[in-house]
Amino acid sequence: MLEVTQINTFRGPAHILHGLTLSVNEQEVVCLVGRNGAGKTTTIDSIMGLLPLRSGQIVFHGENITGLAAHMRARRGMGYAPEDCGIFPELTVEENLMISRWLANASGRVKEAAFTGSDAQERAFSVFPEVRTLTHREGLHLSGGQKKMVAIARAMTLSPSLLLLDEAFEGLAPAVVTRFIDAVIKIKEMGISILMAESNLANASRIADRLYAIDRGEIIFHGDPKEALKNEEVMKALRG
Amino acid sequence: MHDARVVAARILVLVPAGAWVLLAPAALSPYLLIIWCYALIFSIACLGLNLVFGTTGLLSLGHAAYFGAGAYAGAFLYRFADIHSFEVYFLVGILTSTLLAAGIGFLCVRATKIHFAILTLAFGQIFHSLFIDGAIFRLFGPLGWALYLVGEGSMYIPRLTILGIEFEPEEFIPAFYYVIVFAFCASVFLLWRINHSPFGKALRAIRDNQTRAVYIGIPVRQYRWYAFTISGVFLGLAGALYGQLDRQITPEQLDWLFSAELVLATVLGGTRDFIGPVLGAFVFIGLDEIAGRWAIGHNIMMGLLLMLVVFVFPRGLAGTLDLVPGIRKVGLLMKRKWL
Amino acid sequence: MDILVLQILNSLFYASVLFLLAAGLSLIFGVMGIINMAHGSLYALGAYVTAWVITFAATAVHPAVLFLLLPAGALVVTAAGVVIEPVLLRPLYKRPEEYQLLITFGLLLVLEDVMRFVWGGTPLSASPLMDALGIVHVGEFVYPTYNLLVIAIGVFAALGVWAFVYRTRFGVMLRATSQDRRMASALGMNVGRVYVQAFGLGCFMAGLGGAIVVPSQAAVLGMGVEVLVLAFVVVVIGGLGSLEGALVGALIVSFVRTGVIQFYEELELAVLYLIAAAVLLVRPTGLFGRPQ
Ligand SMILES: Nc1ncnc2c1ncn2[C@@H]1O[C@H](COP(=O)(O)OP(=O)(O)O)[C@@H](O)[C@H]1O
Ligand SMILES: [Mg+2]
Repeated sequence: MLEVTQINTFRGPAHILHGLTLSVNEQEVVCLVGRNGAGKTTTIDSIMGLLPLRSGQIVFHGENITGLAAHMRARRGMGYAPEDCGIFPELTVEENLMISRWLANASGRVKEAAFTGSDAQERAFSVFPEVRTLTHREGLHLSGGQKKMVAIARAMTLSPSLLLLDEAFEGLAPAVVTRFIDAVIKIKEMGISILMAESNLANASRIADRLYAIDRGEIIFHGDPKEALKNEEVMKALRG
Repeated sequence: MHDARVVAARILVLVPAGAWVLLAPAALSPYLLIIWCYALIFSIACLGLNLVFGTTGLLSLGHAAYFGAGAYAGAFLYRFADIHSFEVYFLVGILTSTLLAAGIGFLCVRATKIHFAILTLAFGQIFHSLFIDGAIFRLFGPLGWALYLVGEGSMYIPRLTILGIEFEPEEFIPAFYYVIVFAFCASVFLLWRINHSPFGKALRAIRDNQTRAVYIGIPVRQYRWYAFTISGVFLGLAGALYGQLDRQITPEQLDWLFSAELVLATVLGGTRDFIGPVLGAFVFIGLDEIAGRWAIGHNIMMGLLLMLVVFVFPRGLAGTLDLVPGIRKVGLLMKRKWL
Repeated sequence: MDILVLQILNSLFYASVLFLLAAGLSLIFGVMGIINMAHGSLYALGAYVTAWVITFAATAVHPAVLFLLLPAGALVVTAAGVVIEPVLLRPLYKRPEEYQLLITFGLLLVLEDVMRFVWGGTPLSASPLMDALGIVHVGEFVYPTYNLLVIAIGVFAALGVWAFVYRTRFGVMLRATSQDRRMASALGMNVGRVYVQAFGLGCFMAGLGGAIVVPSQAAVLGMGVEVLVLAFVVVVIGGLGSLEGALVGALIVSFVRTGVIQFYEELELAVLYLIAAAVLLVRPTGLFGRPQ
């Protein structure tokens, strides 16, 4: 459903992604693993249309979306939960979700499925019931873990076909990580594909159907997570 | 050691410039000579402003206050102490503007960016309103109040004695011209030295990355304050010269619109090149004169010019000229160390 | 006692106009981070257009119809704003803020001269509206009824803007965009369109301020620049980007101004700027501003 081909991305003058290629299939969890500064966020943001590509191509559901603005990509079914969660600090959680509900109704996928933003929100609540109790809090007053949940729930409320999760487990206690991993598997079972940026290979290998290892803006490994664990070179690159 | 090209470039630039500067009183009509004087004064003000704006990265919308202070201080001195010496008028003007800039600057440098701009604007306007509404004149008793009512805040400044010499009216401007030239050269020299000193480098470091400047041990707020105060010296100097040239000073020179004109001329010339403000001031005064003469919309022209600079030539005249290879070469040779 | 009532009414009249102006300025800053130096000139444009339209129509139509023409200035200014944002401002969002200030300052200069060309030096007023409503008696004094209408419009505008920003779908999107533009677009909001709408709304409020003031005070050259600095004072006291701040700031400025004029007229402006400077020094983000 998503094919990223030979993309080159710059941040200012710095060339960050060097001809990066990856793909995500229907109903699949794909992890992009690399240490800090490897270019994971840059990849996710390039796919979302938040950073301009210098060259390369991105195809989503068979459509070339390379030149499309971020909001048009969101409307075509990309949900995005950034590293810093991006919860609007002075809006309540309810308002944060409301925005997604409204915009979901403007997106193509919802129209096809006779499926509303509210339905999508219910699905998000079924994955993270805790969010229901937070609706009157302002974004500012959420804890780190709560922000992560709200960010994913908000992205799901858009009723996406693909979720882009950047460091979704960052800063979570190990027990909570397990909880999130269950959530991700549940989301996948709802028919949503997931591309996750993750710096911890152990976590990634617990959920990934397929895994890409990235180092210095290049894919250095692609394949089964178990093979990655055995691959000396990958392990070395990830450890730094 | 100098190579021949450096010497050649200096001769090529400095000899014609020097000849022009010295001979201007003979070459220009009295009217044009005054315009030329004004351009020199304006460029001192822009250079002074740019120490805060281009070099330190703080946009001030209140520098008119220091310009005006430089002339008003001496004007009051003449009125109430009956002092006719240009030197005293001049020094008192500079001193006043420096103290004022030091005081206001001390408060303003606590803010940066947009807040700095608004804070300087607010203080500038306080000063402006004290003159335009007459509060300052009230301090000088009934005579001061009468003065305010007559001039609506503006003040007359007579032809003062220069080095003790009392010039005839028709001799005065040509003689005063050389005072302005001297002040201009001295200002350019001093500001050049400041810009190229470690202090100047520190100011640019603050502008480019405040966090890093703190990290390498630059006392950021203190240096900003110094820069602000120093720029007040040059604004006061320019204002004092202006008051004597025009023989009056009005609240218009204190208003934020005048501050904005200084900024406009500086941006027009280019804030990142030392000589930019001078070029900007010359061109600004020239265009101002043309617009005034042809009764073309003065503001429209300035406004469109500003948009043109922002969109098409963001580095200003100096930065754009610098892209022309020949001029760039000469410029580089000029920038070599003097001795 | 009656004089006190009169002073309060005067302050409220002034506060209504200042609020419209400052709230627009603040809204634009809050959403796109730009200080619109041309805001006062847009206010003046609103005043001129309304005065011009009303002067034209005064002989031809019934006074009641004239009131329908009052918003003409606001609409023209809104239209101008909808063109200005994409053409002049949009290319500059990524540049340092000096450039944004400079471009709006350039716009100020252009607008000032355009008004000079079109309407010349003679003051233009829309007094038929003022006359149509007559006067009310406040004890032994008289007060123009029209000014009460302006106060009512001010109150209505404050409530309306508040409801709009905090109670509507567009308001939520507006606040979201102002808090995190990137995230807003990643959720599918057309941020460019939100910007045009916010700028248009800000311009509408400035134009409306000018339009409602002109029946009681003639439009003159330079009115925009004069009021701009006052609007700055208001938003600085209240906090840039805050609507509550614009309201409180407008009230403070209006009442302080009325008070100072009673006691020491020469210090009217100085006191206002001094308050602004003091607030900035103690609370750099103003009374209601978001901490940075
Ligand atoms: N704004 C920026 N300007 C220049 N370089 C940046 C910027 N942000 C990140 N980088 C560089 O880009 C590289 C990749 O960063 P990022 O994609 O955030 O890595 P990751 O998410 O894998 O930790 C890093 O080397 C980082 O230093
Ligand atoms: Mg990252």
